[in-house]
Amino acid sequence: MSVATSLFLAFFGIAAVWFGIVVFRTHSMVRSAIALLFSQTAIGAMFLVMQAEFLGVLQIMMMATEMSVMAIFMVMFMMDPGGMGKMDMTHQKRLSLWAAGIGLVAALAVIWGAGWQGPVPEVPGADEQARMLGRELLGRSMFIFESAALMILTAMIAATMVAIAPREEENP
Amino acid sequence: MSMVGLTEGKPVSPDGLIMEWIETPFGPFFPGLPGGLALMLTLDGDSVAQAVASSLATGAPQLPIAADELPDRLAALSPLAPVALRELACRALEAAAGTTTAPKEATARAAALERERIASHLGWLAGLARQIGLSRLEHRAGALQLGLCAAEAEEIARQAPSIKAFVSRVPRTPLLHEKLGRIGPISTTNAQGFGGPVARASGIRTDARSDAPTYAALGFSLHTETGGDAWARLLQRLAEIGQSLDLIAQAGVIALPGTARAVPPDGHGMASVETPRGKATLHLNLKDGAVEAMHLTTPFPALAAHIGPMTAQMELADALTAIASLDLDPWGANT
Amino acid sequence: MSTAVVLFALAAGCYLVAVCESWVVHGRLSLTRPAISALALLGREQILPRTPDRLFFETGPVLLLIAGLMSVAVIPLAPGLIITDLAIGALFLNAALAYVLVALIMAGWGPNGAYGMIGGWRFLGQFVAYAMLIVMPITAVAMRAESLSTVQIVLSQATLWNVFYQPIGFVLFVIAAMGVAWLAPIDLPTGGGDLAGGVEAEYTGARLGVLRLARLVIIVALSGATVTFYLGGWLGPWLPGWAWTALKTLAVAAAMLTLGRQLPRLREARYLAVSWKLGISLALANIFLVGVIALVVPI
Repeated sequence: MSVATSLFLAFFGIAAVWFGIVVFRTHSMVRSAIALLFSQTAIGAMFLVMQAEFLGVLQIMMMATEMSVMAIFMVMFMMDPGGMGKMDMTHQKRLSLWAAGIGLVAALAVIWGAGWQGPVPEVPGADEQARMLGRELLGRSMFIFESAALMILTAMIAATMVAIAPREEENP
Repeated sequence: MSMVGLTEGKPVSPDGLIMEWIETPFGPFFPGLPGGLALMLTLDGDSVAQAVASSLATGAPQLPIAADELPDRLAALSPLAPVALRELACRALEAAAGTTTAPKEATARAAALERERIASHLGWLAGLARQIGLSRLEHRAGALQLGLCAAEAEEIARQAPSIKAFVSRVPRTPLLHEKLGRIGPISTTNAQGFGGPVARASGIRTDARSDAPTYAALGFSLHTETGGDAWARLLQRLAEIGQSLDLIAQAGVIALPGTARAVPPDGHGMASVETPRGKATLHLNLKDGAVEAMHLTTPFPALAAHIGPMTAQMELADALTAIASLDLDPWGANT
Repeated sequence: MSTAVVLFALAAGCYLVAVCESWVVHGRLSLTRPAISALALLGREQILPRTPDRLFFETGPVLLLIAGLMSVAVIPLAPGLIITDLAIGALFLNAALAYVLVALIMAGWGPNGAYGMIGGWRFLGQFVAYAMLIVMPITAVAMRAESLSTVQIVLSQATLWNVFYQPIGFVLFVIAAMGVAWLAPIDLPTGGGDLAGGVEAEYTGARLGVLRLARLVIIVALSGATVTFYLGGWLGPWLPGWAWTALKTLAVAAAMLTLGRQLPRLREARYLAVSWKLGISLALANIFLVGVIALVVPI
């Protein structure tokens, strides 16, 4: 790995962590959602630096749209989306501190204890990567992705039906 | 404090979410709504939770007014319907004097009223087009209105075919029925309190012109629509444009109502006129040749009071379209 | 070198699209109006709203411009005249256009004004409607080209342009593109008559200039994308490749600008319903049809 690659990787990694911290430090709900969005974008950029082009671009695209939808859900369900009131955003402080500590220890243990092998000897070009991904998705992994897609579709339809209170036919 | 504490006592919307309601003014200079209308909408997200409409237009002229100045002063009160108010003043003064106008003069004055009706409806159409984003329709309606508002009868006869072609083309605008259909429906029962095109579009046969002998001589017949939604109101006003063009052609000459001649020094007069938006009524008391007390009712207060119930829980764009389809005229409402 | 050429072409394209838009709105062709308006905007007073979310207020228009520029980066002007020929160019275009949504949400939320906020969230609703319809036609296009690279997609149309091969996809893509660039009749975030300018209402001076410039860049990018995916890119007789791309892009932009003026602004609920019920079904049918034809017919 060249020096430039390592520097970029470190930069985007630190950006991802920093945006993640901003998510919890800010009082404004919309800023929190957008900060999470940029944290995920930084992770997508890390994928790009590691030459996983398709994955990186997909991560950047999906997270932009998902976090924006999350932003509006936050505005809908939280009373103080601008963060300018006096609402206290934290709950169950002791439990969350313990959970965070245990999570941190577990993550560090995995990073230290895992048997990392050296860098991949050769990364196929982006074109070839896309081809191989396509063959994998529609070949060996087709069953997994199809069943996941069907489950998500079922969940979407069920959630919509539960959310809409029954009332007489109304054309939008 | 926790969220439960912060949301205590806040109003709950029909979908169960407790959000902060925003009071947003939409007037008096909002593009797409009539000028002088003070509309305060309380928005729950982008649905209208409450709506309050009032008029910010100038109030009544200073009394007492000399009787022969009354038509001019009343016409100056409303930039949207000056001829109708001038006609109303003249009729009230004639009612106080007990005189009647000669049939020819009455026909010419009726034609002037109809000319203003066409201009008013075209102006309303341009405003509605501006609000819903049809810029070509806005320009065309505005150009037709400008060419017509001061024209003589021969000029109007020359323009009549192009105006009628325009009026028949408007309902065929693609997606216009989508945009206006089922917006702001007013049922027949609710429409009893209004007059004008709004009531006629809901099927109520009310028009101050139907029992006037002048109009009967010109062959006036009442036109109504069914449905009572914004689309029906559009069709109603377009039909009235065609009808007014026919009445002007029948009348043949246009003359503005002049100042009343023999006015008694004391008396009481009452008259009504069908303005482009509905029936307006004027009561006046004369003393020493001057108007010492007068009361003008316009269609505005009844329509403005209905805006709240009509737009409840409507999406903002639909609510604004419904309000624009009522063709409000805030001028003259504060007398 | 090619970057400079493409950026120059982009600037020229933006100016010509601005001229075209002013012609459509005002009814008179004036070649200097955009330049004069731009100078006037820069010279006007910058009115700051009270208590804005300062970060979003400043970042919104800039992010919109960045999103537009990134989406132009993968559009080929001619073989070799492209800023970066990514192997996944079509997907990258989509990823860049997704940030139009983020930028408009920021620009709507930032100024702390009712009109802007409603405009910004309305755009999210509009996005939910057009999002699938801008990706699924691209899937069908990539199927025919057997690659996501924009250059390969253009080259795959050498025998027959995609507008004839996949007309359903073309119609859906153009309508979705009008949604991305919030052109009439889908101009919900900045509805003039509804929201008095909406997202643009609270911006003045140089910031408004950046917002308008960003919108022009996005319109040019989307026209370029339509030309690349459906109208054969630089392919055509007699003229050099870049001239064909330029002509086709301007023609598509002019068509998108004029078409909408004849229609009233769409109602959001109806737009969502039609996009999801009719649009997605058609897009899926399009993918299926293109797959069948690609396997059976050798073009």
